[in-house]
Formats: sequence, C-alpha cells, structure tokens
Amino acid sequence: MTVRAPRRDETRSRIIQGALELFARDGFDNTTVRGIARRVGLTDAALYYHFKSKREILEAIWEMPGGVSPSQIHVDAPLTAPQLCAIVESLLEFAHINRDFITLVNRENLAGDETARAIRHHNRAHVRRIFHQHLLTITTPEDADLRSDALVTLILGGTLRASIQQNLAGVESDDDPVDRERILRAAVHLAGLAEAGVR
Amino acid sequence: MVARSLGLSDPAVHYHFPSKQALYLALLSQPDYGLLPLDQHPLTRESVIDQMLHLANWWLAHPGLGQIVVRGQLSSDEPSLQYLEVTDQRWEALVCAPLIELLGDRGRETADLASDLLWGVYSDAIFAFGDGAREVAEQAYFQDRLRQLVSLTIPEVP
Repeated sequence: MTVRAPRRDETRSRIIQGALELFARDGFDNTTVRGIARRVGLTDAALYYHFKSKREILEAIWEMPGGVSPSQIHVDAPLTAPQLCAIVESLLEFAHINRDFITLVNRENLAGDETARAIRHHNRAHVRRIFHQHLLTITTPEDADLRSDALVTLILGGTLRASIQQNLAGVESDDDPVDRERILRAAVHLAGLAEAGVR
Repeated sequence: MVARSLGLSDPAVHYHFPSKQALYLALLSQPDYGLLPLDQHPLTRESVIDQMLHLANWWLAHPGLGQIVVRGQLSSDEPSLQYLEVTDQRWEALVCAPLIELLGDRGRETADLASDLLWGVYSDAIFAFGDGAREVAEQAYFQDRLRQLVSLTIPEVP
C-alpha cells in the first residue's frame, strides 16, 4: 500500500463533496458514478477504489455531521431579543452553508428515502428543542410549546420559500437569498419579544 | 405504474396522455379554492385568519400536488416554477392585499411572515407524512394548532 492515510481521506472527502453537489442539483437517480468521478478529476476505477457504489457515497453523505453548535443549547438567563436574533442568525447561516445537503435531504425525502426522512425529522426536533429551552425562561410551558413550533416552522418555511423565489428569479448565486433582517423581525414577533420595544 | 394504480391498461393511459411529461403538465392546474371566507364576511382579523386557513387546508388536502411542485422546484423545473409564481400572485391578491387594508404598513410584512409559516407547515406535513398528510391535517389537534400558529402571525387590530 503506497497511498498514505491522510491523502486517502482527502480524496474520499473530495468525492463526497462532489457527489453532494451533483446529487443536490440533479438528484441521486440522475447522477452517475462517472459524472462524480469527472467532477473530482478521478477515473471511474479510482473512485471505485474508495466507494463500491453510488449508494455507498450517499450513505457516507448521510453520515456527515448535521447538527448546530451545542453552545446554543446552553441556557442561563431569560431570553432577550438580541439573543434570539443571534440564535436565528446562526441557524440561517448553517442552512446557507449546508444548502446542498438540505436540498438533497429534501429531494430524497420526497423520493421516499427513509434515512433522509429521519435526518430531517432529527434536525427539526433539534432546532425546536433549542427554541423551546430558551423560551421556557420567559413564558409558560404551553406558550413555549406553541412559540417554538412557530419559530422552527418559520425557519424551515422561510428558507424553502426564499429558495423558490431565488429559482423564480433565475439567479444562481452564492448569496443567501433569505432576507435575514425580515426573518429576524418575524422571529422576535413570534417569540412574543416584540412588545418589549424592539420593533 | 400510473396505469396500474388506476386499474387501467397502459394503452388507455397513453391514449389520454402521450407521455409522462404531458401527464405532469396536466396535473399542474391552479387550485379552485371555491367560495372564500372573505367573499362572505366583512374584513376583520378573524376573517383574514379564516381566509388563510381556507387556502392552507386546500393545499393540505392535496399533498400529491404539493409533492410534485416542491420536487419540481428543488430541481429548478420550469413548469413547476411558473406554477408557483402564479400561486404566489394569488396569495398576494387573496391574503396580502386584505392584510394591507387591515393593518396598513405592517400588512405586507405580516403576509410574508404568514407565507413563510404556512410553507413551513405544509412542507413539514408532506415531508413527514407524504400522501398521509391529508388525513393528519383533518385531525382536530392539527387544525387547532394551525389556527393558533396563524393567529400568532397577525397582530391584534387596535
């Protein structure tokens, strides 16, 4: 074996990244192993050295870390509007950076992939829990329940709708299509923090 | 497969729709929302909420169409994108305009927020339940929650 481990890991992650972009753009079924190999500048044979099949690459993608930074779960004081904005902003940034991954999860979800469904469910529950724990510092459990539902729905719906509008406008850009200022104001409103003079 | 699920023969389906693409385009007809709450009631906070719920419930009752257009959107497919553009214009007329009339300057931002929220509810339902979203949305628990969520988006009218 002449290939040293670090080099092999690097090629492996290049394949995963290239496949992720193609799967998100064209869908898993419409992507070929040859297309992935070309994109990352490998021969088919070289790619098969790392992965036995297209399915195995998808499974490696599903294992990519998909959480948000755990520091956000730390709750020590009553939630304020600036704090909520910081949380929402980091979630939007996370969604923007990982947009290929999220598009792929959504696509495969609709195609009936159970892993994709479980990943979406897990991420939604995780984000909801962050909001819920923070909201418990300022309101009743019942109200925190409703408002955390509203906040997670806002983030999911807002990012999906923004990507639709970006598609409609026909722009292919790396800019985040989400109007962050507007979403932040909406989040503050939904959390019931707007009355405190933030608007 | 389409033919089988309808109990028809392949040629019978092909007689009406020469290709899968033709069938797909035929499915993309705009919703008939029927008689709307704002056609029958004066403009109040409650009647706008009813109007939004009416539109949301139409879509929840048609999870198959939602899956088709969302899938089309995710692959930047032109007919689905055009379809969504028209849907968006109808939202402008049926929800955004009344909200501006009701709330003034805050109306547009409120309509945007409600649109984000309802897209979130709808995508959650079709991603989590697929075709079963229809039955889930009919449950009283779901309907109560939906009304609470939509109500949260619209400020109290002074």
